[in-house]
Amino acid sequence: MDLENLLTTEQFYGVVRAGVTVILGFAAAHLLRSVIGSVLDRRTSAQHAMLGRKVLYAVVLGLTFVSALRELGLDLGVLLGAAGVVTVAIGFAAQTSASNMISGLFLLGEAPFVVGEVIQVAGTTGEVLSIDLLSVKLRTFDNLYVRVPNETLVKAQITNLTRHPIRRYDLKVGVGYEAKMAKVREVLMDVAAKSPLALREPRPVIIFQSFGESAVNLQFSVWTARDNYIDLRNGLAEDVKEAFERERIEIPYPHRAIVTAPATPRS
Amino acid sequence: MDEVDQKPALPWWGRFTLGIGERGLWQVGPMRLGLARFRQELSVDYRENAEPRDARFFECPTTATLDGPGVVRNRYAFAETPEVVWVRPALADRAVVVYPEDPFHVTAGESITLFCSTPLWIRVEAGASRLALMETAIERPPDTWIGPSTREGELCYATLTAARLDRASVPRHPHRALTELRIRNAASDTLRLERVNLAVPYLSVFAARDGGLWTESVVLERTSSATLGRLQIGHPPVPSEVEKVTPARLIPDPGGVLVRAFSALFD
Repeated sequence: MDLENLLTTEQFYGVVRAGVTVILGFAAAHLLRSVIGSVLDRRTSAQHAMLGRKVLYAVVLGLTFVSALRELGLDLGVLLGAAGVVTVAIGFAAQTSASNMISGLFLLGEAPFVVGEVIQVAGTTGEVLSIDLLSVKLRTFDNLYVRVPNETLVKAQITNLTRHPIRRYDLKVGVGYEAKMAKVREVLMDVAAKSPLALREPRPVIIFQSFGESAVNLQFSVWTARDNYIDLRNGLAEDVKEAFERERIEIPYPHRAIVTAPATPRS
Repeated sequence: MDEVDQKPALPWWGRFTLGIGERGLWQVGPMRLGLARFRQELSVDYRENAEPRDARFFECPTTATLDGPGVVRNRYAFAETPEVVWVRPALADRAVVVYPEDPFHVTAGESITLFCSTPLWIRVEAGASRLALMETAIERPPDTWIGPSTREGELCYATLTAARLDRASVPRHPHRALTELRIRNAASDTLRLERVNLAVPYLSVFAARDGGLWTESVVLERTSSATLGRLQIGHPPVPSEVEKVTPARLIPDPGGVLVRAFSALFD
């Protein structure tokens, strides 16, 4: 077939039309994603906006490819029939992916966390960057990018560290047996009262834990705003240590006496 | 009842002019503020926890500089620095929960007026357009939480009050604004006033002729519901003798603001 014949065939025009459809489809998908995305950003949560953008993009691209295939003259009925058979084959081969996808739907429905919240899962703590079809992406505090499969998230225990606006910090502290408990209580409460980050209400509490080997173990629980948690955690321990030193309240630690025996005389 | 010194106090707020290379120095309560104007830079420095803690002075222009440990320095660049700077008091950026030092009761059907003070912020603005440069708490009040649970509620600041009933006995501090608070107990039982939530972002700061700083009067009415009260904002205690220094951060509804006025946590 020479070039002139090629340019006049219906098949060639079908390929051109399919190509144009794909290009226009991609452009429309990008445009709609950014326009609708910005509207969703203003009106819904970050997570719903991201989900909306992805679904919209996938739907537009799907329709584009279906149109392109029709332009090429392919019979979609036959393709769909073949797709059923292929789906069964792929289903066996991609059980993990399918499980992750279904788990992802459960996660979206249950919403134990949303994009931007900080979660702790399977030993990893990080900010949720995205909730995708197969996995959730986290950014840890040392700036690592962690991908957690959705299936793992459905099975594992998830702790959402930023769901509630205030948090309690439990400082475990041991004091010597000779210390007066009333004085210890007064000193600890005074430390909380002087810290602007410690909430006045809910009130701080001191909970007896145990009589330890060398100390009376206490739990000093102080509430703070979620955003101030790390600052309070660092500052409170320092303030308690300084207050105990000032008030001569000992924080005991196990003492071990090492006695060097005289050298055994050689026979 | 204690009578306090009611001599006119020096107003530390207002419009100041600084030539190139000139400085200004303020001490308001425990905060020391230093301004320095250069050709293309305006330096706003401050130090918290300065002594004496109840001081009120300013010198502008001055040769004194603010240096040493604990000074926070902020440099603002301009093509040409404006010669006019404004130093103004502002009320807190969140509601303030006022805790009476001693238990205070308002019997059923009674209406009382008491005076309480809330902490002030210091704001520095530059130029005729009053471009906001810096704003910080003169003395950072502690945080507290008010609401029905640790999941629902409002993060506020906390402050103590002697809940004085006589205006003449109210001590004046340069870094606190006084509020005349009228409480009507329309419920059929005695109101034990353990805390009052003052929605100060809805209030303005007024300067009295004697140098004291006031807010509008606030009326809180307790109906049968113990937790919620309607906050009505009135005029300053003596409208003809005061001048508005700083407008409110938020505009209240004409009908008043429904606030969680008296609620204890977990009521």
